[in-house]
Amino acid sequence: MFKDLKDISPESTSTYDICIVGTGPAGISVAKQLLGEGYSIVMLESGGELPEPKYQQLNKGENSGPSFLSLDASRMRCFGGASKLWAGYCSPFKSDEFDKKSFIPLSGWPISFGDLKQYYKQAAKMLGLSYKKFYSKDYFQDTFEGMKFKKFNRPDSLLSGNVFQVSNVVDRDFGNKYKIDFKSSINTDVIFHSTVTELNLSNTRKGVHSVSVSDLDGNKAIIKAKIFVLACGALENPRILLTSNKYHKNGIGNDTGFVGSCFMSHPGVANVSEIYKPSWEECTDKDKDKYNNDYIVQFEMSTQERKKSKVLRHILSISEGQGLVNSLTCMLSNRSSSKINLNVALEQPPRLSNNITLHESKDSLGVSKINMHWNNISKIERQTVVKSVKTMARELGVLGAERIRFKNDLLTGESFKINDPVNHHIGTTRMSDSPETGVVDKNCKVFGVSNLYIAGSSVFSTSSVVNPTYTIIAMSLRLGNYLKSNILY
Amino acid sequence: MGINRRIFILSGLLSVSGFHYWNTHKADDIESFFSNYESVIPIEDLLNTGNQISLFEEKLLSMLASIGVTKTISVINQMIKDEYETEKIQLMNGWIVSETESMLLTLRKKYV
Repeated sequence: MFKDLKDISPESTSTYDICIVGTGPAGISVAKQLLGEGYSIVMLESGGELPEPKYQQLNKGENSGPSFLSLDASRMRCFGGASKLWAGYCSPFKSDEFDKKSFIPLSGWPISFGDLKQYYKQAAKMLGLSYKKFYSKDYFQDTFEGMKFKKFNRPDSLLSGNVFQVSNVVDRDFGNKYKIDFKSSINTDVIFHSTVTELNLSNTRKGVHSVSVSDLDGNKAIIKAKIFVLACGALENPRILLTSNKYHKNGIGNDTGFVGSCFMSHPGVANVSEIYKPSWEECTDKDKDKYNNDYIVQFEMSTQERKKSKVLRHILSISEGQGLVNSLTCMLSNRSSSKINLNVALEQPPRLSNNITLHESKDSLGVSKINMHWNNISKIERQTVVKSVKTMARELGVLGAERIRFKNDLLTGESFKINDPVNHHIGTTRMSDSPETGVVDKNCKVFGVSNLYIAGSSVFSTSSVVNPTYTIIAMSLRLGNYLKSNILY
Repeated sequence: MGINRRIFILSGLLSVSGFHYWNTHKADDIESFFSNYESVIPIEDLLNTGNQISLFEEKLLSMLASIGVTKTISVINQMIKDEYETEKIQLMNGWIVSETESMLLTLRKKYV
């Protein structure tokens, strides 16, 4: 049922089985696993059923540099959350991304790709996608044949392709798609305008007893539950833990200082090089149809080359058009220039110095705003850009006459001074084997707190380079299933 | 004039004309090679690289003399592809080129 905080009694004594804070892709995915199973569920949404500007103001925070990332963009306080904003690009992580790598400190997840695979499949269904097509040779074949670039698919290629499927607007807006399920569920309450201002610990301090919620009109309530799940994104999840500092001065789950740390995004470095091509093939109607497909194939160094070169994951793309292959072939056949700009999007490694902390200023509800300290580029990101472009040049050199020239801005380092336009927020309550290096365990439970779980990209141990929402959904489905099978049964 | 003196003068003349003939043909061969060799890298983009190309030039001339322009281009192209594959690459005024390609481009600047 849909409710509003103003209709909830501040003295309510009922205790839900589970309280999910946030109704974005993560919160809805956790709840979807539990709906219809007889559990009493409450979902707390800071905003309303639809976006409201005054609640969006609660997203405001500060940047202390050296790079700047908008704290307002990519966030939506309403039912469905960021699912109302995202472009729908989906691609799973690669299996090697879960492994520890000697050249990336703090890398490695306590789970494997195999632990996530069935949930990637389930997430694909929810998003109207085919899991198999992420690995379908037909997709690559279509791409290569359709684009007259078969040779790009040679067995020993220094590059590998990644399929990105695009979820359509009906399937990717979880707010609209699943509204009826939650509205009609008898034992599920979705309470709007209920911003969590604090987690209240039990007397033993070992578990969360309740959450304090407020709206902007002065209504307040205490919501009790047996299990709590924070699913508010990688900026709000640490904010709530840090601001709940009545008993632990550093906040809940923060004995080792990892709450808020290791913030990651996906830096993009534009126009680093130019690809020179001697001629452009004519584009047939059949070829043109390929560009209207619901997928693209993006390229990067092959896994083997990437490991050998000790670089991060990345995506090689061009400024005009969708995919690199598309653009290298007939898409731009009518252009007069023989060169196209090459861009690189990057994974970012976890670094303690990139972090979210509490700012001294407060929002309208009296909660400390966040301060982001973010440096978008370090040595390994620079190396990844240079190495990936060189590898692209090598592959083109092996294949034929195309050549690549570094732009002066890359040679002088100017390219790296441009801030990232991609607002992906990742890694501020990271998953780890040990509280010494993270905030949640492999089941997304906060270390040292018996009944507090976290869903969303804040638990990612590493950031990958692919759009995070597909993996957020898969991880949240996994958490929902874990709670159903092991905790709530 | 004694016979030795005449032989000396004749051999001198032959050497001079041979050298002139060799230089002319060398230029012809290399120009013929570059007129058939395709590259997207514009010659005006190439700075003086300091490449020591005399040895490479000799090898190229030797190949041209023994297998002709078409086969030489084919062999050179394969060498370049192999170098890209095995990461024998370098930066040349921002261009990412193979080692042989670098020599070739320097030589092209000299002759074309």
